[in-house]
Amino acid sequence: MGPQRVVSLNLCADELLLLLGSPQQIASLTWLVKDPALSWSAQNAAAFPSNRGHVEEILLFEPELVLAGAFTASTTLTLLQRLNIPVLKLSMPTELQQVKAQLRQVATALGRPDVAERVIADMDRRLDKLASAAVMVPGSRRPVAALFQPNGLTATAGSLIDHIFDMAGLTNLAVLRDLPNYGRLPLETLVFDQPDLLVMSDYEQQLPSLAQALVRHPVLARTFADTRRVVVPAQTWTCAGPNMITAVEILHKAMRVHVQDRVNAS
Amino acid sequence: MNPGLRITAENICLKRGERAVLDSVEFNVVPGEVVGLLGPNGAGKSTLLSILAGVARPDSGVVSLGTTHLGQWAAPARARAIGYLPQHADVYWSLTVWNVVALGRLPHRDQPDNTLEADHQAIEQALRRTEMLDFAERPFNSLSGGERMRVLVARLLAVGAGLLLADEPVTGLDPYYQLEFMDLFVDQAAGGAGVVLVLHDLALAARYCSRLVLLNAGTVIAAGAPAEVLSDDRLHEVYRIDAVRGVYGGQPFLVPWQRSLS
Amino acid sequence: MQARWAYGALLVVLSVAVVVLAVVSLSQGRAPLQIFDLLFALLGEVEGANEAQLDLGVLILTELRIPRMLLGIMVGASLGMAGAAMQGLLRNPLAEPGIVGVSGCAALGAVLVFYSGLSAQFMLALPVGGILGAWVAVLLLYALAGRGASILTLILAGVAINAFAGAMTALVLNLSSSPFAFLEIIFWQMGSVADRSMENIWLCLPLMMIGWFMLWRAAPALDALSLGEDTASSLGFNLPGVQRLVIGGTALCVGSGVAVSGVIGFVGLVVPHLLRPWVGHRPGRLLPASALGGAALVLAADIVLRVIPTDTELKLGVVTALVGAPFFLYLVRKLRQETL
Repeated sequence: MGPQRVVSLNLCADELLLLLGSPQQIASLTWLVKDPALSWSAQNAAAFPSNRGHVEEILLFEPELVLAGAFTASTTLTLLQRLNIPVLKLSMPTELQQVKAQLRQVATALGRPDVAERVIADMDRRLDKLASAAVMVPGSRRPVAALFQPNGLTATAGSLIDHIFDMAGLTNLAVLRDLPNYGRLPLETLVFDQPDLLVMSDYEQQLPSLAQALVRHPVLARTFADTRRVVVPAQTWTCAGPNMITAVEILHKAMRVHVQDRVNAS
Repeated sequence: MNPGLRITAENICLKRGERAVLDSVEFNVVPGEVVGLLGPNGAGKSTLLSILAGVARPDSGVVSLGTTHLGQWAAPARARAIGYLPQHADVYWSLTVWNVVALGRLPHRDQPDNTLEADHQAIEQALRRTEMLDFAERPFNSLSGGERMRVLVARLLAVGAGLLLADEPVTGLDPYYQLEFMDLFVDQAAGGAGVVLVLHDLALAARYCSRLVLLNAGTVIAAGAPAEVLSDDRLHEVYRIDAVRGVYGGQPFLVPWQRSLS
Repeated sequence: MQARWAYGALLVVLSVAVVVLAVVSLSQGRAPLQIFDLLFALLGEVEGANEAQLDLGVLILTELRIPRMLLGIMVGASLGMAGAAMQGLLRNPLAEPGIVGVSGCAALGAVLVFYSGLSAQFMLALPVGGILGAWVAVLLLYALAGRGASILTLILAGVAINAFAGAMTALVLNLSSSPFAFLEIIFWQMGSVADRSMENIWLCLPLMMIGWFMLWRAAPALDALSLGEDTASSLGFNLPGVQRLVIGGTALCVGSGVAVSGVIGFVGLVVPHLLRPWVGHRPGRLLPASALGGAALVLAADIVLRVIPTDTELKLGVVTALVGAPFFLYLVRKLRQETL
């Protein structure tokens, strides 16, 4: 039967709950998952009551299980545990194996382990498809990609996006440059190093901010032709889940297009 | 020096709040005169002088410079025609004496026929006239009170205006400099300038001015030759003092002697 | 006559300093560029070897480093000149766009325009927002402190205006729907000329130049004001007109500069004060000298912060504050002893 009236306190937990649980099991999701800019499950989530992570709200739902994230307030969790409410605290996976393990963990906790297996099988199938269309840049070097996000933030070694690059067959410029964790990629370095692919995310681009302005600096348009730039929707990699395969697919395709262009040009 | 022009003020009125600072005041000065503007404190002398200089505006009345309304003069032209030295004049930044006097040449800066040489000469001459040439490179703020006043008068002279309006230029100075300045102004008048001086020292006024105007509480009490204006009655009525008179070397003089009884 | 030569020599020395610092500035950056090769390449004399690499270097130079250097010069010149002009007008050696709140309000104006999305639609709205903010600040300053205010009154008025502007800026950023906005308060209040583009330069340069022109026109009047307002008036200067020139000029050049670079403090305080003895304390001559001095100071600070090895680049305002704030304290102390 699995636990009823499950409450989720974290965006990524919301997505897993929507993916792996039955609608009858879900009592409440966070308000974040209803934002289409953050999650592709926004429409599915619309029907469910929202919570903002306050203990009084949670108690009203009388949950049999609470899903929490790595940064959910520890005071909240301690309180829930003291009231004998089961809490499953999810980590933040950065690798495919960890993602699969988490899918199984959550599905089991929800009493539906077979759903996880179906999802995992689907993921594997998509990845196999990509592997068979592997691409190499003329000269047989793994293509180099750089993530350039608002404020110049990039994906440093060991992060989820770094792993996604790897899965797509790309070398991460931030790793080549040995940038420190949560480090920024200076604009000059990015331009000078000329990675094969410039990867950007599309999060909140219509709202003005200096962070966004940096990403739109004219020098980038002048040094990276259209086929060397790819935008990856933020919803694919905000949470580590099956959606990350979409990100891998997008990157892979962009690389194929770029390589084809270079072959045509030479 | 520019040829002096005549200033005429008619029916000047100015109020501050409820108080009438100046009421229907008539005044004029022509080239060659040294006019002394006298009166007790608060009579309106400084205000009148600033109106004549074009620095302040009356509520009503007309001031003419030459044949033209003062308000219709372009500011630089007016600045070349009238030199003004206000009361409590001071210099804010730590300028040298030369540079302070050089400021008097500012009204000439856009004149096509003015040269750096001409400026230099005017400044030098003004400093020489006030015996401050040796102090030219000293900072103004390092000078004594009397020396500063001389520099400021030099600044006034450097403008080369035909009309000189000075507000209490000798108040608080050593007798030597008081006499020196009065001689200087008389010299300027002899050279063709019109001079108006606000004075507190009745003896100096009587001795050096060719004409006096006596103000009290915003109105002109008397105007004319010193002997007429500073009659015993006037002195008693306006200043509440009695004076001693005499003649020395053919020139009449007066000295305030005692406070009036009754 | 000797003074003229000395003045000319001073301007030449300052100009040379600016040029040297500009070249040094161009040689600083994360990418390993051979600056002189690139400068020659820019002038058309390419060596031929490794042309692609040279092209890339030229691109980085023209798109990233030159805008940074030019903006540093423009903002520094504006702050220096406006500081000297304000001090001349107010006869107060502590008057400076940062201290009296002009820069802070300019930032508020720019922030309002930027985060409301207005500047995305009308690019000119950004510098205009900064200019309006700066202008309001000076009007407020006059309203609070009045003409001929003592040094103390002026500083207090500046404290009030800065507090107001800072709080309002933080509020606007907090309320902005963009998730990045609130962190960006650091840029607006600490200033930076990094990662700007030539677009930013063209956006603010015309308005800045008008501002510089207006301030320059006020120079003789500032000289005359050394003798006080009445004497200056008798020397042919229209006081309201001078005020308009200085206020307008300051608003234009500081306002448009802050809109693009954020608040950079103390330049308008330190530079005029250091250069004043070299121009014989003449307020009029201090203006061009302070423009050059300000440009040199900002360039130098921008070089320093790139030379210091830190992961996140220091903000320009931090470096100028490190120099300027102790200087400010020293000046206050010195003035207290002299006047009060």
